[in-house]
Amino acid sequence: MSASNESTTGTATAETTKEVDALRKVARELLESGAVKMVIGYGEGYTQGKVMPIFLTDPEEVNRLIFDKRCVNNLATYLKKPEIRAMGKVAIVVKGCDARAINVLLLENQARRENLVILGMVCEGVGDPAEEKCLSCLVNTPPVYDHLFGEKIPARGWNEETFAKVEELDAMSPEERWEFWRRHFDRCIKCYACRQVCPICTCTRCITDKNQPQWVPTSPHPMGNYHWNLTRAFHLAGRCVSCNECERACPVDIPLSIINLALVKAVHDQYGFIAGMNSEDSPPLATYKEGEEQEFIK
Amino acid sequence: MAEFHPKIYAFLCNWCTYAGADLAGTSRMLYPADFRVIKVPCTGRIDPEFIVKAFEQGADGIWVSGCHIGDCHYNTGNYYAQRRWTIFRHELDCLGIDLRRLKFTWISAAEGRKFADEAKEFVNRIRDLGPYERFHEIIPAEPELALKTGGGN
Amino acid sequence: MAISIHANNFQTLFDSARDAGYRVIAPVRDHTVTLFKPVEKADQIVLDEILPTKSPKEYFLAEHEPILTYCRDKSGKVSIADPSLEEVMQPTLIFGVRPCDAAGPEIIRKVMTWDCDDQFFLRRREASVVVAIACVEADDACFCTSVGQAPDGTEGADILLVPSSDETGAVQEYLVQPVTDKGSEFIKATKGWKEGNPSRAAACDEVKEKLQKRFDPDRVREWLDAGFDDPYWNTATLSCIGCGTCTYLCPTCHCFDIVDEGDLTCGSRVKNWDSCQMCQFTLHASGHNPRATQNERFRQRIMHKFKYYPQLFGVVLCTGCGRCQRSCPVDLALAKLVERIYQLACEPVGT
Repeated sequence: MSASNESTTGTATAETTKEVDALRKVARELLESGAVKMVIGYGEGYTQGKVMPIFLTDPEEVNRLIFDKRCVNNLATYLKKPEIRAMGKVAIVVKGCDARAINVLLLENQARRENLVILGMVCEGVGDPAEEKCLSCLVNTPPVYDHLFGEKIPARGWNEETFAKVEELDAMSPEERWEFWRRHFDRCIKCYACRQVCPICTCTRCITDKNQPQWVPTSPHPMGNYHWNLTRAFHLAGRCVSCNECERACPVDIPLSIINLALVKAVHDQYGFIAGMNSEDSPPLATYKEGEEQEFIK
Repeated sequence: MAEFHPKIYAFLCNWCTYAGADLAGTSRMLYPADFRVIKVPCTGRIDPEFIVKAFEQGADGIWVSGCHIGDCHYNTGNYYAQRRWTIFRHELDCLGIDLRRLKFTWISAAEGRKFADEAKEFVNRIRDLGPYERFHEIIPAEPELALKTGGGN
Repeated sequence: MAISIHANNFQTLFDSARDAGYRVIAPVRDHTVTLFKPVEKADQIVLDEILPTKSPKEYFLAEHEPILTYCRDKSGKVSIADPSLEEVMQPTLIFGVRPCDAAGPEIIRKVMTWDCDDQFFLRRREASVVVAIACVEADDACFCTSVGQAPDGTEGADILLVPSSDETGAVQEYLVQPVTDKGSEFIKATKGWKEGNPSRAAACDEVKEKLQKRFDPDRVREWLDAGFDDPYWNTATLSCIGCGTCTYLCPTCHCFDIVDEGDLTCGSRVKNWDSCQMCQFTLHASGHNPRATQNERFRQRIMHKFKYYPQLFGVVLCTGCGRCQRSCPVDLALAKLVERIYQLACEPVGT
C-alpha cells in the first residue's frame, strides 16, 4: 500500500455524487494511461470531518478523491512546489477560485499550461455555513479547465455585502484604522502561513527573507508585524484572487481578507481589472495607460 | 520651547525634480531646509518599501517627486510609478497611515519656483502636524548608552 | 490536609497575587482566538476549551527579545550592554495551563541547561508560578498519553487544580494539589484557597479512558534510527506548505534566530522564534541548503522530536497537545504520521 499521506481515520463517505464518480473515473484514466504522473485532489483529512490535500500516483487510490462543502483548500498552491514541478504533467482538482489562481500563475509564467490537466469542479460554495467569500463568487464555474464536473452555473457575483467590511473600515478615521490594525497585527507571530498557503506567493526568496539589506524586519514586534502584513498585501495587489486561504491559514485569525479586498476594490475601481479571470490580460501594476492623471499628485 | 524640525525624506528623481531643486538653489530661492533628499534615477525605481522604511527610520513626512507624466527621462518610468503609488497610497490609508504626511508631486527641471513653493508647503504642513508619534510608538526604542559596561561618552 | 478552590474565588486569588507582586497571565479571548495574556478580571478567563491557540511558551521563550544593545558615540567608541534581566525576572503567575503545556518548559529545560545555562529561559521559569488545570475532555488531536504525559500530569506545574464538575457538568470547584515547594509557598502567600475537599469528587478518569496510547515512542525511535532514507519520507508530507504554525504553537519547539536590528550608530541584537520548517532555516551562506525540500525539513522535525532529543536527553520533545494538527492549514497531523511510523515499526521484518 503506498504511503502517500494516507488517512488512518478510514471513514470515507460511502455515498458520492455523480460528479465525484466522474472525477474519480477521469483521474483513474489519467493515471493509468500515464498522461499525468500525479493527481492532486481532496481526500478525507487526518482529523475526522476535515479534508486534506492528497497526492495520488496509484490509479487504485482514486476512490480517495472527494469533493464536497468541506473542500476549502486552494490546491493551486502546490504548483509552486519544486517537487511537484519536477513531476512534469500533473492533474489538479480545482474550484473556481483555485482556477483563478492557476490563471495568475499561467499569466506570470509560474506554471506551464501543457503540464496541467485541470479538473474543474462547479462549486456553489464551500463551508457550512457558507464561507463569506463564496457569497460573492465570480467563478462558480471555474474559468479554466480541461474537464468540468457538474453543470455550468452562473456566478453569484459581487453584491452590496462584498466590500462591506472594507466600507466599514473606510468609514473610520485614520486613527481608528491604525488602532484596528494595531490590535490585529499584535497577534501576528510571523509564521508566514499566509505567505506559504497563498498560491500566488511564488517568489523563491521572499523579500522578508532577504537581509542585504533587510527591508522587512523579521521580528514579531509591532513594527515588524505591521510592515510584513502591509508588504504581503501590496505584493499581491492586482494578483490576489480572494481565495481567502491566507485568512483561513492564519493561526491567530487576523482578518487579512479585509486588506486583500480593499486592494481588489482599488484595482478594480482604478483599472477595471479583476485578477485570474483569464491568463491573458496584463496585470495592472505591470502596465500603464495614458490619461490616468491622479488628483493626489500635485 | 525648541522649534520642531521635522524629519522629512524626499525621494526625488534625478532628471526632473532634483534638477528643479538645483534650479531653486542656484536662483537663490529661499525654502526651509528641513528635508533630506534621496536621489533616485527615476520615480519608477521607487519601491514602496522605501516609504515604509522611511517611516521606520522616524520620518514625520515623506515627499516623493518626479518628472511630469509624458516627460519621464526613461519614457515610461513615472507611468508605472503613478499606478504603484495610487494603489499603495490606498493601502496605506486602509491601514491607518496619516496620508497628510505623504506628498506626491511632478516637478520638472525648469520648475525651480514650484519646487521651492512645494517644499515650503510641505515643511510647514509637517511642522503644524508635529512629530508622527503614532508611528514612532511602534519603532523599537533606541538603546540608551551603556552604563553597565562602563562604556559610553 | 486537602485544599480546594472555587472558580468564584479566582478573582481573590488574582488580586492577592498582584498584591504579592505577581503579574497574572491566563487564557483570554483575543478576537476569535484564545491566548495567554495579562488579565485583570477573572471572569475574562477562558477555561472551557480544549487548549488555548498558543501555548504559554512565550513567557519562557520570548518570541522576540534583545540579547544585547550597542551604541556608538560621537567619538566612534562603541558600547555594548546586556539587556536588563529584571523585567524578565518579574514574578509571574501563569494560570490555567493544561498539563501538556506545563510540561513543555520542563522538557525544554534539558537543552537549556545542556552545555550552558540559558538565563533568558531559566530566569523566566524561576520567576513563574505555573498553576495547571487538569483536563476533563480531549479531542481527536490530543495524544499526551502516547508521549508520557497525562491529562492530570504534574510535570512542570507548581500547583495542579483537578476539576470537579457539578450535576450540570459545569466545572466550578477544583481540588488543589501543590506540586513544588514554590507552589506551596505561593498558596501560603495568596488568598482564595479553601481547606477541605471540593463538594464533589475531582477526577479525570473519563478523559483518561478516551486517551489511549496511540504509539510507543521507543518503537518509533527504533524505526527512526534506521529509517532516515526510507521512501516513506518522499510522500508522507507532500501537503506541508512550510509555514511555521506548528513549530510556533508547539510547547516544546525552541529554535531561534539571531538578527541585528539597527544602524551604524545604535541598535540591538535580537533573538526571535524561528522554524525548521521554513525554507531558509538551513540555508548556508554559500547557497547550499542541506534541507532544500519540505520533505527533508519535515523529516527533521520528526527526527528531532522523536529520535535526537530522546537520544540526548531521554525524553521525547513533544507533549501531545495536538496544536500542530488543530492549527495546521492542511490538516497534516504529526501524530498520525508518527502513528504510521509506529505501524511500520511493528510490521514483521520482510513485509
